Amino acid sequence: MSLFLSNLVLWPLLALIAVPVLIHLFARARPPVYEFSSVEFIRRILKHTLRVRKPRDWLLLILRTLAVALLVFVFLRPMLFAHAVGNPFQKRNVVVVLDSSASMGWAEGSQTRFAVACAEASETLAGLSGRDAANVILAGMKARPVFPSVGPNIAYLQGEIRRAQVTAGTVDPGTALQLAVKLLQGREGRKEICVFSDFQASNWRGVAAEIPPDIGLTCVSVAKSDAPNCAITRLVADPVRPLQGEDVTLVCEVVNYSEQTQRRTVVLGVEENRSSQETVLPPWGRATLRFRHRVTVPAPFVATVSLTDDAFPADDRRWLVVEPRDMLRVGVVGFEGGDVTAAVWSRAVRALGWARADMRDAAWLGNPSWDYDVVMLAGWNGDDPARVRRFLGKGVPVIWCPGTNTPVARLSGVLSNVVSSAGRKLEPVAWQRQAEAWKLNIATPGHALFRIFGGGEYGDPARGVIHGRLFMKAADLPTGSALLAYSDGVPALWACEGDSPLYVWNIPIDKTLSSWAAQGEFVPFLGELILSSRCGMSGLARPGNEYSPGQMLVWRPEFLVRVEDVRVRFPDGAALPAKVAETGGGLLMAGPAEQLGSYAWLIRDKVIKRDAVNFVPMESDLRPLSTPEIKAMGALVGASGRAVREWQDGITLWPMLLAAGLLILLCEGLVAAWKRGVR
Amino acid sequence: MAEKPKETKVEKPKSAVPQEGIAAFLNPEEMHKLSRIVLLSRYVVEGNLAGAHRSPLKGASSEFADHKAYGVGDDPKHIDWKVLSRTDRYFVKRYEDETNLRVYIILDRSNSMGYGSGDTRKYDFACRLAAALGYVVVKARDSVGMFVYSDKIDIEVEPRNSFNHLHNMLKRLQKLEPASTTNTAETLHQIAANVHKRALIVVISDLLDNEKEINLALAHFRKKLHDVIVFHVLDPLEIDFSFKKGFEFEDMETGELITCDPRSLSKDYQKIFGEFLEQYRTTCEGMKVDYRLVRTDQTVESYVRAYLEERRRLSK
Repeated sequence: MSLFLSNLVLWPLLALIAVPVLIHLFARARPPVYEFSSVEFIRRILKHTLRVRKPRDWLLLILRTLAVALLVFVFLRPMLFAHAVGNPFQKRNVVVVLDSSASMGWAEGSQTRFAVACAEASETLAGLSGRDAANVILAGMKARPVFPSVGPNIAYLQGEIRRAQVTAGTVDPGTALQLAVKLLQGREGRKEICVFSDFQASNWRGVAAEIPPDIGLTCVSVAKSDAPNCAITRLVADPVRPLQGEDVTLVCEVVNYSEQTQRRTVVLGVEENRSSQETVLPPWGRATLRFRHRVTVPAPFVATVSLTDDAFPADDRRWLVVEPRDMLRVGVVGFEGGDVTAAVWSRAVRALGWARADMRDAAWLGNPSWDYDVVMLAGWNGDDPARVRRFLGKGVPVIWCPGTNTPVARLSGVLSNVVSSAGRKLEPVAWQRQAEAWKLNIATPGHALFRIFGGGEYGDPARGVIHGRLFMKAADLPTGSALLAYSDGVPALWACEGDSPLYVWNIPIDKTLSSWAAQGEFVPFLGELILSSRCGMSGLARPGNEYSPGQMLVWRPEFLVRVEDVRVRFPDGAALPAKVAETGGGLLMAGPAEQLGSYAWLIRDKVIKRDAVNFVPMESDLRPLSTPEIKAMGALVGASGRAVREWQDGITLWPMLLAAGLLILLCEGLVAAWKRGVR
Repeated sequence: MAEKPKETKVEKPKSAVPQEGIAAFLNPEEMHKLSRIVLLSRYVVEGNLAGAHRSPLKGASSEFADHKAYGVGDDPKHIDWKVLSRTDRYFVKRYEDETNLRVYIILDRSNSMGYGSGDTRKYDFACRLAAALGYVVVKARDSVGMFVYSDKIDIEVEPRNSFNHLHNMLKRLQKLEPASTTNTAETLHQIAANVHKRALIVVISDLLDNEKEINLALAHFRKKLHDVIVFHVLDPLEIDFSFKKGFEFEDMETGELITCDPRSLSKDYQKIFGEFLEQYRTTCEGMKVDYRLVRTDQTVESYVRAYLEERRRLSK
């Protein structure tokens, strides 16, 4: 009712509802009078049927009234639903948010979702009058408005929409909507945001659109159906940085985003080598494929996996830059009381020949370099475990020899923040020393660590006598298993389970306490521990050279370079160099990298570094939000831009009504003429 | 069938000179055809002249009726001597009396009789029917009288058996047009009360009035031992209600208006009107009243001939 009170111009529309009543009254045209001998019998019949006929007349009246009310409702639909848009006769300010994320590239029929969205958005803009103002936000990898503010040049906006292209990235709906709100703030007149998107569920679900009440939000979904899609969502190397001569496993994950079982062939390409595997993907299931590749030279190479026969090709390729090592880098950190252990470790690592040990102090943990393959902590008492967790989170294995002052609670607190304050948990781990030697046992013979010792060529890693140890129980340690254990069951080398590459070392190396380090098996055992600890961590490690579309490529050269000499080559091999800028701190940035593929950093046409830009897996699930979910954002949901335009402008119905009236008159005339002919 | 409610055409003999009396209703050819048939009463009647019809009285005809014990005042010439010789008792012979037929034509001229869907109104048809019957009656040397009524008796003519009388009677009828409402039952009661001697009562009406009252009035006639014939004159459209379009129907007597679509009502109408006719037929049959439904889409002369022939056959 407030709608009518505030818009007096609408009252005539209400008066339309009286039309059927008038028609009902006047349509009962009096037939000719006929003198009949007696109407007694007619009256008897009508008396009998009146009860039936009268309600029929009322029903007819009700139906006619409802029909006109429906017509009035059609007229008022834009105002009744889009109550927030204000007075329909005011100047309009429209911001069109055009989703150009990768999922919009899905082709439904002959057109992609993006093409449909562009057409619908253009249709909406076409409905604006000369006094209205608009703007378009291209919401791709980054929400970008065409104009800095809302402007009247509709034709230019339509041209921008025509020139717009689907990006390879994902959209941030919240940011785009907030940008639209910002553009409309302070504007006079009606304010509307029209979103044209596929409303991809994985992207839009849970978006809390904080739209002010004076701004109307209209959503037009261009997704007609769920799109059956298969995608390569992950490609990682295990180990992440293989050693020259080492076999690397390229782990590829393929996901089926459809309700049908899919059979796909995955092809791996490394330089000129090709290999393929076929996989059957269950509905909404995934498969992990493993390709083995031997690293022969310590130079970065690009591995490419691709999926065949898929309807949505954007996510069917994935690139991985593998940077092999000629030598592994091991960071050895000695804490108080752990210097001897650190020194022995360092010497043993150097003795391996394929690894380099860098001695670091405790302060290094606060600002470490991430270029290490393994970190060894000698004598650390478990304080400030977040520093260590950062290594673990990046997939860098940590071998930890706890100090004698390490509280019991910190043994497990390294991986979790839950530290019990009860009783003895705060007490240090008990140090045990005895004249009678403890002997070591291999607790997990099948572990990869002991593979080379199976033949006896490298001796027995459990050989030796030990007179001192920390008395720790398996229950005090993080969840895991003992690789080596003392004869009384106390863990000597503990491997934590799951995605945390943490090893707890409880074997003294000092020759006054143990003969173990002096034996020939020690160095190969340590080497095997370093090598095996790097494997299986591919789930954690995100290669530092992998980017999402739209991100800036970053390189921190380890040597002095002139920025002018640095170029970045695009994946398509375009000669045009990317813009490279030095941001300070020795960081070089290029981009943004909008294309998928492998980028190469060049200095004087020599490839120095490679980066990969891969499809965002979130965009592969093409299922759209349901209409109620879109409505839950407080939006008016339209099927097309035309519908939005009709909501906003209304439909010019008077010509249609006039034509309908004339048609009815014509029909009535024809029927009357025909009836006269019959008589 | 086209409806022309406002047109009132009276079927008249084709002649350059306006006709009067019987000539206004029957042409010579029709009169010739009707001259060879008679209207017989199914019951005894009481006439005032000697005639061809049985009288309830014992009279001087040659047809023996019965014997009666001789009493004081009886004419001795009627003593049956043969019976006296056999029984030694005095009996007198009695003979049937034969008298003429007195026919009363009761004609309805209410407004409803003015209806006619075609060229002939019910009233016109009824007048011609009355003229034809009158002609047949007078031709048989019987007497014919007439009552013309609407809501009251408008014309009352005593029965006579001359053509001059018939001519004059029909001249009076010729001047009348349908008018006023109808009050058939009361009028018939009134006539029944006035006609004392047994006679043949011919009612010509559309009987569009209270059926029960009319039946009581007809019973009144039968109670007084009159032979009653009812000609129920109706237009075909009144019977089948086969209109092709909707009308606002105006009652010709009451002026009441009812708008309806006859096409949707015709079945119901036919059902109700059929019950109306059936009620008259069964009631009249129970009272031994000769009830005849007469449609106005037939010729008067042929109908009268057919009816009288049938009646003659049945009376044998």
